[in-house]
Amino acid sequence: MSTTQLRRREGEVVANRPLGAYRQLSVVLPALGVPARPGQFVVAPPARADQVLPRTWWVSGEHTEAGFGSTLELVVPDTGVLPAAGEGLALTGPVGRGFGLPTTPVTAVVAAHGVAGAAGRWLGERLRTAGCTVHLVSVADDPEQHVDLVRARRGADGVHLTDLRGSEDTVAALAGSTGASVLYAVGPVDLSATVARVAAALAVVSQVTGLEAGASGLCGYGLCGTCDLPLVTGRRRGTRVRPCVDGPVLRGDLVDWAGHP
Amino acid sequence: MSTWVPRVTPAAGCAGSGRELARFGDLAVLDAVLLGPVGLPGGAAPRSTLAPSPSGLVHRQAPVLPVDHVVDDLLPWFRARGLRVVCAVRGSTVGAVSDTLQRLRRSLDFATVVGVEIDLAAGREETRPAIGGLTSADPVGSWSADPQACLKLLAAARERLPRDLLLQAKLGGECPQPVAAARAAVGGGARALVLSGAVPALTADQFLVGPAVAPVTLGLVTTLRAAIAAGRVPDVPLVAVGGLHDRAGALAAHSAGAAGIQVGSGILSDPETLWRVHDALADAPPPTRDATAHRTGATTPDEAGDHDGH
Ligand code: FES
Repeated sequence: MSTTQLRRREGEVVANRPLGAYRQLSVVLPALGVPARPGQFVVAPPARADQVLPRTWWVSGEHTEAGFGSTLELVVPDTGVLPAAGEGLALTGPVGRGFGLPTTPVTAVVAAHGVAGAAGRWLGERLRTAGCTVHLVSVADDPEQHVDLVRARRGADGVHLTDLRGSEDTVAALAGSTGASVLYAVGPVDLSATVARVAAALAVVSQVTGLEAGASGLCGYGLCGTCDLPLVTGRRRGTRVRPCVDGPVLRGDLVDWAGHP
Repeated sequence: MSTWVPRVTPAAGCAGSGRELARFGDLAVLDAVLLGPVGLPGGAAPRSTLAPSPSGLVHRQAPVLPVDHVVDDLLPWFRARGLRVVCAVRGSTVGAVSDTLQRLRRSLDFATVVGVEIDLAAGREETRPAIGGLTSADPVGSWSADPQACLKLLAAARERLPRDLLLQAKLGGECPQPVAAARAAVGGGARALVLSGAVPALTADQFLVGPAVAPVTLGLVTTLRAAIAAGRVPDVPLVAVGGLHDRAGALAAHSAGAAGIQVGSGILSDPETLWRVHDALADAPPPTRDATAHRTGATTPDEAGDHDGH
């Protein structure tokens, strides 16, 4: 594990606009040393003085301009306590390991839940740039909560809508019919478990997030242990992985998903 | 003789395995890093959970760091970096705690351990004979609820450890009679008391922590300080933990009589809080009337942390 310094850095919000049920923030930070990747997240201080835990948000885009800094795109739940354009915002990150891209053009299925749809869409765009055929599955329990479907449709070969209960069937059918050789999931751990299971049944690779940025009860700093997941294999029984440090992107076949529907 | 205690450490369960915390600042500037809870790997330990509540968190205790993992992987990491470690040990029976301590002590890297903290807020189990000569373990509340049990546990721990190694007992908001439990813990061999403002919440294994409980922490420090002044508890240094999130909170606990501070939920809120509190205390005036005694003639482990062979 690296012991590189992970410092909170002062950024500036340059845009805060509505995006369907969510808000889209653009935050300028001092230039990042390494480009951000889909699957990474940022940690922001608690919104209010009476809150203890920081906030975690998926990164859904980044671009760096020499001499200007790095602009992070964040699609976040509309909590009513977000900084306005022009205000400062301290962020730690982008944190963690993002999704890996296949080295050859293949067919991929990307399942993303709710607000994580923006990160899923970004991953889809990256995959397309790498020559892959990409099918997006947007999972939401309320039709209002799919993120920016217009842009999603532009950046993928197909977009499919479902809810959490229907996600297993949708992903399995799609992966089967398209002959996808890699399945991705970003969002709640339950969705990751589902996609990992589908991948195992089809004997294909899966990369999934082991924690849900934005879920309550997370520190995101690797210190509280609430995100820990058990591994299937390991040097000894009871070996765990800490997604906010070792992930959040994990290989689906390495995690013991028992207890996740 | 008075005892050295580290001024500022993370609280048990809030430093990960140490490596995660090292990403946020220099651990070497701290007097010690607190690692834990360390214990025997149990069966299916419940996941730790954090539920936000106003100005606080409801925290379900983290599963222990298995002692074999600590011995094989973590202590060598700390030792290689010259860091000093206080191991927080949790167990539900005297046997479990003794066994954990014995395995720690057998570690080749035990020289990096400058202290041991025994968690008296943890649940205790009593072994009773059952049908057919078998025994059954029944939960009987926290260690700190029974002063006799505290005394026995600390005495057993003391026996397993080098004589001059810091041994501290942690108790808090779950304890019905803090003065009696503290006296028993010191009687058993504790050389410092860690007073935690964490209060039981929702279910037996959940505690309210965070700034909401800072007044509980200060109350415990004040109560114990008074009991020490009245001679009801032997004079040992006090360490405060619970809701001390900033300079002001840390200094308040310090002037109430705490020689040391542990930062828990404050680290989860912003890991750099640990170093801010450290800096605040570094230039704070001595805490209490007997603060000088704590600093002069204290049994401070030498730089190599070598305390074996005594
Ligand atoms: S969220 Fe706290 S350790 Fe991962």
